Amino acid sequence: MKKNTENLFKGLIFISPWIIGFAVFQLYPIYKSVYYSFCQYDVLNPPVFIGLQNYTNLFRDEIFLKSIIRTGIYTFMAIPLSMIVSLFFAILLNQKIFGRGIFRTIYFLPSLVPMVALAILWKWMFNGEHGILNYFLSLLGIQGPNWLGSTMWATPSIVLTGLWGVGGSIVIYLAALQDVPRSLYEAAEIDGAGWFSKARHITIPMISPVIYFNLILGIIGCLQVFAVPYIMTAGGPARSTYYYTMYLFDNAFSFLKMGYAGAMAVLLFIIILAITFIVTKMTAKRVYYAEK
Amino acid sequence: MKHIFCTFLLIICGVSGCDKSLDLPHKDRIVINYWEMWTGFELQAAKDLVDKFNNSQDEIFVNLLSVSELERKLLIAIAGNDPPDLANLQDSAIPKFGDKNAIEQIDDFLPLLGVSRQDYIDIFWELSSYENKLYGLPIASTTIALHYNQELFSSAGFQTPPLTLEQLDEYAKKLTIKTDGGFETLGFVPTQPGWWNYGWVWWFGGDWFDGKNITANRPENVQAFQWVQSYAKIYGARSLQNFTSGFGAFSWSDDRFMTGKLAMVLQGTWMSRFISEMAPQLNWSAEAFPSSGGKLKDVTLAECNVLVIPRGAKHKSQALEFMRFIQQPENLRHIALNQNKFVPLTNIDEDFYSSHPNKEIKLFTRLSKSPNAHCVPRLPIWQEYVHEIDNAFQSVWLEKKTPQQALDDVQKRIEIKWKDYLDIKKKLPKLR
Repeated sequence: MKKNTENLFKGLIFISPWIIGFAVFQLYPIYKSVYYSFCQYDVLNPPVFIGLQNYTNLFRDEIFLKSIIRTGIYTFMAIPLSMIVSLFFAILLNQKIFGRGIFRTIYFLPSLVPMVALAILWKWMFNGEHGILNYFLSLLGIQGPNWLGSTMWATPSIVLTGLWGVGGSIVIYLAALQDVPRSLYEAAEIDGAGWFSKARHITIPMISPVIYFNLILGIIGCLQVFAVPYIMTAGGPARSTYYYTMYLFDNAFSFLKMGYAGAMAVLLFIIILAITFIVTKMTAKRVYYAEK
Repeated sequence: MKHIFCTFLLIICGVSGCDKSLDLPHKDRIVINYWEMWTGFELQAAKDLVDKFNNSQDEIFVNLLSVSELERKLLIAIAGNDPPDLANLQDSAIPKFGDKNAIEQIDDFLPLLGVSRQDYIDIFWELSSYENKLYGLPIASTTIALHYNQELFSSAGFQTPPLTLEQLDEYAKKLTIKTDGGFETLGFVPTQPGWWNYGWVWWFGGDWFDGKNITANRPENVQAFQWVQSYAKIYGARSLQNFTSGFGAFSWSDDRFMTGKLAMVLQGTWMSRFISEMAPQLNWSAEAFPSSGGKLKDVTLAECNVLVIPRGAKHKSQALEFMRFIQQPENLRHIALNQNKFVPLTNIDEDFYSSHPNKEIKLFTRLSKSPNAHCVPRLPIWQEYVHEIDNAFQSVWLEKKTPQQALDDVQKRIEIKWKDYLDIKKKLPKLR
């Protein structure tokens, strides 16, 4: 018993830099955000408690409600696409081909590009007149749209830009694919299973925990999408890319409504928590863990 | 081992070197921190004056720092009770900062500063104040006017700049040369440069606030937005969008006015500086932007920088001393000449105009004295308001909404926010 307490104490000391960092830079700000969400607070003057006013105001705020819908649409477009693309490339990169290492590096490299540089680069590629994308389309005889200037194309453009960063999930999928025991494929081959059957009955179930992991992280990332649209479109045109966190940011730092922004942050936390819970419940039967 | 030792020695020398750099002549002086929003040549103009001030006496040392996103950072510094002693704010920030008591009122220090209201052009005094309280003093000042390409005008047979907005539309049509699905030259487009989308209403006699109420959807404003939409309708929003999306940042050599692709543009006093750097061969001129029916003369937007003392500044009297120095006419003149702007004072020597790099500087100064010179509405919620206006402007431009619908929406939303603001303002003292 004494040994255990001593070990616990030593362990806590070892992780104390993290605990202190977490408490000071995360836990305390989270607590403050929740507190401010019940206050009128403009940063410059002391907060004044106003109860649920910020929350009730949110639900009659048309921009807030529309930003939720827009973020939802973005998430529904981005998640399936990024998951399919990253899984597809992971499967390709898992094949025994010449120069596999080089290809893996090439596909991973773009995800190392800083978000801001990436957004600026893509902003130019999507440019309606000088953009490379429309140049290639013109070679095919298609007149490309003004991607970021059109309310219809702005969100798909941002989704496409997001695909640039799938390198991270490709690596995770790749690790999972390599963990699938060869023996399972051999057994299936003896039973006469083809490529599709093997993928459906062996590969997908065996990497399901990783798919689940990428799905949850993807959803959280999409609901918090900020840097790319902030730089590429600043929420425009006509607010077609004005997502949740952008409105939150404006309330906090442009309009100085910290309480209102705090209420938005708390609601976003609840939304993410609820979605994660629902997704976990829905996928529980389909995610396979070896120890079960 | 030897290498490590040498490196260590170098670091020690480096650190002690740094320490020595602190041992500057200003060590016995009171150091005041001054945050400047500008970079490049505009910053250099401020630096010159700081150096001049630092060399002129041995009590105070001004430490100048160029700060990006100054407004946001200043706010956090004030909230954290560690602000600079002086900051150079854009005039539009004064109501927001003044309303929250984030900057010091300086009405009582006017005798000390050696200035009075009569010394300044009315609008710039107004821009430095909020609710009749003075929060700072104006420095470099600007107005905006129609810039036009004289060469394109001559080849189209135009001898004079347009006198009415309707004439400008006619000019624009004649100056526009279309190509397959695009434009070779464009006469005019109200989305360029896109910095004052809210400003067009002034040329129709409209405004956004009447001192008491939000007036987003008043008929003159709707008329202005109809005019904006007429360009999208006549020239095709999509073609115009493609043409304007090709525009580089304005200070780049790709700017369409400077490359002769756009014949007319609404721009400010600073434009001549960029023209002389990027397109010195451009033959341009400027005139007051014409109003609808030519009914209103010399309509413009006036802007300026305001030197303020943030709340919680530790060396207020020294900051005032530097302010007094900056406000001396020769120093204001130095800033104006080097930032390509004009002096906010009512009396300026004639030789200021002759030595100014902008050949049209007299026009810009005249515009600032016009009864039709406007400034951004003095509203603490202006940032939210302008956000809504920009959104309405884009909806109208992309023909997603009619001008009436778009402005009704702005009216509805901002009225609520204005009411909320007034309610909270009334309740706050009781709640505190």
